[in-house]
Amino acid sequence: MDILFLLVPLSVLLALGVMGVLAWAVWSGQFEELDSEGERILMGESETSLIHINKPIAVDQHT
Amino acid sequence: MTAVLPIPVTYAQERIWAASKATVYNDKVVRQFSIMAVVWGVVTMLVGVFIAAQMAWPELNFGISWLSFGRLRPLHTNAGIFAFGGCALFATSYYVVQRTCQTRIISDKLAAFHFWGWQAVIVAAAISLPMGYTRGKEYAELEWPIALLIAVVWVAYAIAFFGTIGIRKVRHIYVANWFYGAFIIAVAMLHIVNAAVVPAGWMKSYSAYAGVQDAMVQWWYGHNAVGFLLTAGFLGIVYYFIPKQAERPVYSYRLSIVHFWALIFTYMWAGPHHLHYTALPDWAQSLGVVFSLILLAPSWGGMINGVMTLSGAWHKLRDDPIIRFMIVALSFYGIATFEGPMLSIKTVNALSHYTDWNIAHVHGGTLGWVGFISMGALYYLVPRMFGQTKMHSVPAIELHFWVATVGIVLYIAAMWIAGVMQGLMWRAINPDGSLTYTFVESVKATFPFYVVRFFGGILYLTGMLVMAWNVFMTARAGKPFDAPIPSVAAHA
Repeated sequence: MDILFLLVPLSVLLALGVMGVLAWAVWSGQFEELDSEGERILMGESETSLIHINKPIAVDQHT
Repeated sequence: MTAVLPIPVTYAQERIWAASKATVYNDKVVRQFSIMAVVWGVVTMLVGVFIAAQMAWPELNFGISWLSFGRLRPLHTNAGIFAFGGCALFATSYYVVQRTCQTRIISDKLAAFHFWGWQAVIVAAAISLPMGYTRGKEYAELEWPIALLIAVVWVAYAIAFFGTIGIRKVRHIYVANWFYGAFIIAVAMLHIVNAAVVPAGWMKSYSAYAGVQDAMVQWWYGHNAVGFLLTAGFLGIVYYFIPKQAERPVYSYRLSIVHFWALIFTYMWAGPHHLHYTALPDWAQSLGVVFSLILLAPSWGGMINGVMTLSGAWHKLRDDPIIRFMIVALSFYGIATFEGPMLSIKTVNALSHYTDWNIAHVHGGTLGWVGFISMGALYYLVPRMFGQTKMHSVPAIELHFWVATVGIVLYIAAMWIAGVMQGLMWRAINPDGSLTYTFVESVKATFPFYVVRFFGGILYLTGMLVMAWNVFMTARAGKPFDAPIPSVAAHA
């Protein structure tokens, strides 16, 4: 099973790489204030603008 | 123009933004991949129904080599996984990465190359597979020139995706992007290792590995393709599109992060369970079982997390067919990720392997999980890609849901029964030690189940055709629309 000499190191290397990325994510503060991050995607998007797209409304020329 | 534009914005302001590329998302590539996901979905299901009919009525081979089961089956799987599934993943990942990073894709040219390059790969597959060109590896059939093109296109995709994360305007990387990112990196690595060949002509090659070594590489590839393409990638869809459609944040954002890292660390070594009772060393087989069993925990954690996102708003399951697509997809994810570890146990595998139980398992995953979550996401995306608020016909979504659900139930139930029956027939032994049944007797006994499976497939295809009509009507009623980037407006 010589192939394991390729697949095992490759998988170990990958696992180490994943650990490195996890360490970066933890130390760089990616996982601080998680409670608000889940809600962020529901805010401040262009969803609201879609409502207007097919209904041109009067525009104030001075804006 | 004033310094600060309020949100919601007016029609005129949107038009002004649309004139400037830098302030709108690149939704063109999202639109293109969304449409092609629907087109390839119809194609793969059509081929699937045809070869399902061939299983029941072999005369449908018509004696034409191009139409034979052996050549069309890889076309069906490749079109399903890489054309339909791939396009759905690319469309949603480009949509999600731009929205959550609040920035346009780093390079429009790379995204365009990705789209056209991938379509070229699919067309090449659709021609070369029926012609009989194959590397003979499941889900990795495409010959080396096409495999090379896949690698180049994939690198372009990786640069476009990670480059966009690199220029993000939001510090936190949303969890869906982690899933998409893992899918992109893992598939690149799997593809490159498993596609290592020695070319022997333009459309002929020999694997760089031999015998059981080759089998191990193949199933290390095959199972991780399931794990990272058909699972991790589509979990990216779950964690963005379910909260968006339900208008509620994911049940536990913390758990979604644990789900991600647990899945990533454990998936890599489940592959050997595809090679039970073969020349693969026993310890490697057992390792495959252990990792497969461990996988149940993060999988179900993620499923429950996704379903519980609806907690407190269960009425949406009744009112909104799009949410229903997504939540039923998660249920099938739960079924498949329970069934998978169970099938990996060697004693169960002794009964199930090489039977149609595997076909039931795979289609529970593909029709139920991958198909439904993609359809849910596409129903969310398509109206937005054409400046509409909803699909042309919501009752048609409802119809699609029920037709497809009945189709899956027929399909899976038929194949479950057929599989267990085949397993039992093949192992039945007379008192004198001879086999009770010949192989062909088990084939004959399976016939009615193949017919039921065929009708299940017809229903699922019908649902997809309804979707294609609905998407066409929605696109025709609207105009291609690139959404403005809100943060740019807020800071302008």
